[in-house]
Amino acid sequence: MIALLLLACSSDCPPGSTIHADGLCHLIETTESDTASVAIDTGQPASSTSLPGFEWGDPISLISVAGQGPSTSGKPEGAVYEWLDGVVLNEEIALLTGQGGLITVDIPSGEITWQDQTIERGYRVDADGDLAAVGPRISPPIIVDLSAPNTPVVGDTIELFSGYHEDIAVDDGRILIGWLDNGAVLVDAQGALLSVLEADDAFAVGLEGERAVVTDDDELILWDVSDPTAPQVLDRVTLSGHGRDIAFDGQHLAVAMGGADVAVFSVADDVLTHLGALDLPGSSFSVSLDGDYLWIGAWEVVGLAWLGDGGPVMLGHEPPGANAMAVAAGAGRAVVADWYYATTMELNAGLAGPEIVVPEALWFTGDSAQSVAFENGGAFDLEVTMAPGDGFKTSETSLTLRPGERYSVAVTPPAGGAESTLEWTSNDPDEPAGQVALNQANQSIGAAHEDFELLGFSWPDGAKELHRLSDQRGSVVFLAYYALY
Amino acid sequence: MVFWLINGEDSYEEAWEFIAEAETTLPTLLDTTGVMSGQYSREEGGSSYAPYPVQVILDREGVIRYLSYQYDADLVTDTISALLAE
Repeated sequence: MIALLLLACSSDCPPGSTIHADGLCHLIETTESDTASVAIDTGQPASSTSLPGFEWGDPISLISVAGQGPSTSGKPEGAVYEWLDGVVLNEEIALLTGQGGLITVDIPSGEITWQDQTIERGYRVDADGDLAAVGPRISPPIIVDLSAPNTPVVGDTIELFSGYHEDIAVDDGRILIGWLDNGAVLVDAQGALLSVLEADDAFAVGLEGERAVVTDDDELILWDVSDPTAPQVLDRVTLSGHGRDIAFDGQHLAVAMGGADVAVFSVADDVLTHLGALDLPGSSFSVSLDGDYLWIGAWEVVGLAWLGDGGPVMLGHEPPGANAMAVAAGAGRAVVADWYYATTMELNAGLAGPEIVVPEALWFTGDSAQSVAFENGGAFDLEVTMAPGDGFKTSETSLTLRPGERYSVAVTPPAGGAESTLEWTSNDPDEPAGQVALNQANQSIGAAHEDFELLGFSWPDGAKELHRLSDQRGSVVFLAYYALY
Repeated sequence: MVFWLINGEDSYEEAWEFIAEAETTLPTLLDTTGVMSGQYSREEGGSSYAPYPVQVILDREGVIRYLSYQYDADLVTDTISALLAE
């Protein structure tokens, strides 16, 4: 994709940069998310200014953020938190699972209306009709009776195999469990084994009618389960990495890839056809379908995409209350398993806009220039103006970014260096203005390390808590910053 | 003595898989928005780039005594030993 870009638009610029309308060469940031964000990846015409059939507006409204937030002392005493997955049962009720067990949430208010804490550390949940199943990941999956959806009844465990399982899908009285090297395990509503969909590393699973989909390492496999005791492989394709979650309704199929993108497929004629990739500023590891709309839980953001005519294309995103671990959608609503919170959102069908994506801060060393990347994560053209303070200069003062486009602006401090802010305005319907802090990096030998507070966890226990550096005063501290790419 | 792994850009699940495969019980902190790790951004040849890996060692007062962009096990061990003896 980078090579294509260079061929298309760079004649006089050095390798790794591209010429811009201002006649200057600008660096191409050769990151994975950058390549995925190029508009032609999504099938969108490069010059599109709007998505046919959509009106300009904010596609997502926040309804409520309910629950107990983080306290400065770390884990809230006695509080239930760390919601990891959910499923929408109807317009009024959602099921969420996590460290607090299993809860029902009243969607309009976001309030918890029922709770079962006999399930410790639920990890995955899915439901269809009267049947739900909870996967605690490290202990056996659990069957839940939803005959009365306001008061679920926690039933038997499914103890067919030992070892971790990763994902659960429920459809029409059957449960499909991504049970890693045991394969994808299909059971009936009582937990009796129907068949095993063979896989070396069954991770994410989807089940709808006579079809099942399973990710197996970097493969995506479509199965015919019309005879549940004799499943047959219909098609398989290679993914760009390990699929983390599947949204599948028999027509649309989306795979959260764990990184910045979501892969979208067609399953027409029982053939897996890649339709495009959706790019988000967060780490996508949850997807949920509501008709032609796809909700994406991406940690820093909750994204909304359109898979109908003109799609797949991102419509926009909304910040969660804390961290969007998972999102569950249905009936025009979405419930976010939002770590400390059960967060509810509403789909504004037919609305779309631009979506500004820009970092909150830049760090400078003295007066060396840095670049700040602006990106359009929405479906309409993004207009940005910017004004740096205190002697800072930017290579541009305004930008127009097409959907999916990303552009790096050079920011140059005054001689000798300084700190200030870069104020920006945009035509994003829910972010008309904001600022980027322009800071001097202060992490150098001999200086006090800046205090921070971050969520952390440990293997094998997995319990999460806030870690604050200043709490470690009196100890020698070794900090190893890393990234996996 | 406190050892923290600070993951700069990956998801919870990716970080989990990493530490589970490594079977390390050291706490992993998630800095998914790069708030902290961004402070170590380096610039060379007119372009800034991700700073990973970065190793930082703080003394008991929270003062940075060691900062390196390359892992040097001997130097890390020596620095920690000296600081523990202070």
